[in-house]
Amino acid sequence: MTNDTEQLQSTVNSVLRVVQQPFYNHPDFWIGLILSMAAIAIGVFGLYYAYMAFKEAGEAKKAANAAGKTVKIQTVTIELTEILQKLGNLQPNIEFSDAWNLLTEIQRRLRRTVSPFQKDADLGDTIAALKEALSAASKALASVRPSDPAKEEMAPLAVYNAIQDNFAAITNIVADLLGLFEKKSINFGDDDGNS
Amino acid sequence: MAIPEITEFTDSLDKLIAATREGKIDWAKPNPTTVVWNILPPNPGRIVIQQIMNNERQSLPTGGQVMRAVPRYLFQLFDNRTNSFKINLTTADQQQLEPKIKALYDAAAIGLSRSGLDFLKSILPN
Repeated sequence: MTNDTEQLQSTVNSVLRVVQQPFYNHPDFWIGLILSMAAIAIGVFGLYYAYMAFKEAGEAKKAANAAGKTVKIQTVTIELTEILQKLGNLQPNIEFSDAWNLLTEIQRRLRRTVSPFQKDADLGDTIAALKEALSAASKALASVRPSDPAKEEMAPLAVYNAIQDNFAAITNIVADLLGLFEKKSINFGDDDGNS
Repeated sequence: MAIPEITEFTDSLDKLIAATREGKIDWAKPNPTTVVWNILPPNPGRIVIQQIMNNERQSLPTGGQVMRAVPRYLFQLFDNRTNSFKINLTTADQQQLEPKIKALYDAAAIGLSRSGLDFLKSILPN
């Protein structure tokens, strides 16, 4: 019985000795602390790299979009230049059917080319003016639709007289649009260089 | 055109208007906005009057300017013998001639409508 009490007392004493020592005197505390710090450092490092990757992906997307817009605008400027050349082909002796085909083609190509930009703050007003001029040209051409194709030669310049002013207005507006698109193209190029 | 020429031209237009109203001139309408008189020999040629819509800059009462489509008239006298225009003018440039040329255009157009109606009446069954 006495032996058991002594043994218990000895065990309690050894536990008390361990408990009464400060925690930082225990090597396993330091091992645990160092491992935790290393884990936190790795975590922060990982987060930083994930953030950097996210940021670069965003910038790459922005650059890709800008490059896409530049290519699109360059396509538009080429198309508008071709249309300007077509507009300059209006001949004084043009017949109604040829004028109809020419205007239809110009109208179709212009509308298809500028329609994606009609809500653009810089281009919206000019595009609206273009649509108005195209409608006026269609109306002017319809006003000289021959009642009898055989009679068309009675007034060989009638078609040209009716639409030449409208074609001049369309030419001016397309030239304005071309300038605005070229300016936009240059701006996107600058953005690419800065980013 | 100089002033004496304008007076002479408007006199001729008056005579053309009178002759048209009397049905002495056989106008044709090759399209909805053009009237043509084919002049027979000994002086073959043609007179073409065309109504055109001209885009003109107009001042607004509130200030500023706006582009508007304004009806104007084109008058052409073509000489078949020389194959050239003897007169080629637009009332956008010669605005003082516009009332007379418009009157001639209207007289020709009304005459053509009249002859169309007369023909329609002539073919109606009794």
